[in-house]
Amino acid sequence: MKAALLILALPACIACAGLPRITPAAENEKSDIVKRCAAPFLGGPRRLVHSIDGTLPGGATATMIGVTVAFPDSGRLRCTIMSIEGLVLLDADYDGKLVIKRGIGPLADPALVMGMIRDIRLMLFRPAGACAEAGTLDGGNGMCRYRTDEGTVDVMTRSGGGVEVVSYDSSLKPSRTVLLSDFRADGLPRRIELAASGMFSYSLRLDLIEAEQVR
Amino acid sequence: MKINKLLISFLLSASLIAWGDSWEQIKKTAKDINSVQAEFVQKKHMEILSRPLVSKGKLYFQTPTSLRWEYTSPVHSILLMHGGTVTRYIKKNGAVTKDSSARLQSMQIVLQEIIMWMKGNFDANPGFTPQLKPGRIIVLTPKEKSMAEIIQRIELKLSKEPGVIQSVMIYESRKSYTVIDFGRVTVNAKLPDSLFRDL
Repeated sequence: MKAALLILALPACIACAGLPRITPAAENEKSDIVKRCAAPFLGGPRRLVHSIDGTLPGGATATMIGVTVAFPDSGRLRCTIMSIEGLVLLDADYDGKLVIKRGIGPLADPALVMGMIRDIRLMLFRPAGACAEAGTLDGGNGMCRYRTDEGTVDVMTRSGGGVEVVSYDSSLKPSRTVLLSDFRADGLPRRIELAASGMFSYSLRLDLIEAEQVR
Repeated sequence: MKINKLLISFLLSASLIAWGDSWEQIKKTAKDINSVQAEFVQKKHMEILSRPLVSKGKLYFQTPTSLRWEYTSPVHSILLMHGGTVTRYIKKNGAVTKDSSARLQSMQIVLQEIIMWMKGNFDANPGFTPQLKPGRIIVLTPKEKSMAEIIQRIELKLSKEPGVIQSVMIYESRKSYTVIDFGRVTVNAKLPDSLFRDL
């Protein structure tokens, strides 16, 4: 019976091994850590223009320009991706439901575009739900762990100033790692780097060209 | 003296009227063009933007088929077409990367089209119906529905200066279009080959 329980518990133990251990913060420090974890994400509706350098599965590289109008309160996103020459390759709207207004080639595929929307949400929006754990890692960096219907997301505030966001798949393996860095005075990161792991790994680097508040 | 000035003005006006008046005149004038160098300002208009997204750059063209299309801002990108090959480089933070996306194949088609325009062959592409309108305006409309879904039409405005394109407007939809204005145009200057090969 004991052996059977151990076997049953084994997958859960292996899964837990994927998450870094958080040393819980004292109650008076917790709110400060949670505030720092939330700081790099959008605090209100914004229009953002980025140059996007992508390294795609197979090693091909491409540079594009992305325009995103993001509403963090509702989770709504309108995004456009165009070539440097200005040809619009994707114009999509997500408001609980994805609408592709224009999609050329692979960017006409709703599954692919939905994956991009998830990536954009991870880069721009504070993880959904309340912070389940907040504390510090062994190295002293602050860490917040969010558990949502879509999975677990860690936000780590680095002592050097950058913020790292890691989302985990259902087996608690890191599926996306985002690094937000080089912050402007208004708190927006000038640079966002995303690395997607798995069978179709790719990476994106976004450099902020311009940003404005949306009314 | 006054008569001479009037005569020169008249002849100049006549040549300006003639340029852009017919396909034959356009081709005839363009035959004398060996090279073009210009600066350009590209303004992208889209519903999602509150104001156009402005890009700036330089263009170099050398007959028969060499082209350098360089954006200097907001992204420094250099597209080189020389000897039938197209290469794009991105310069960022002091580093140079080569763009290897499949989009370069479609860019090759676009660049060949630009080269055709530089040579005055606006009616050479079988995929577009060309129309020459008063005011030295050329309208290219796609024949195929599949192409029209990507680009509705292209409008080129020829400059008063013979052989020179003043602006290009590319309409993707009613609310999404790109305007490229050319300025500081120099025609038939000697351009080094390296301009089309090297960064």
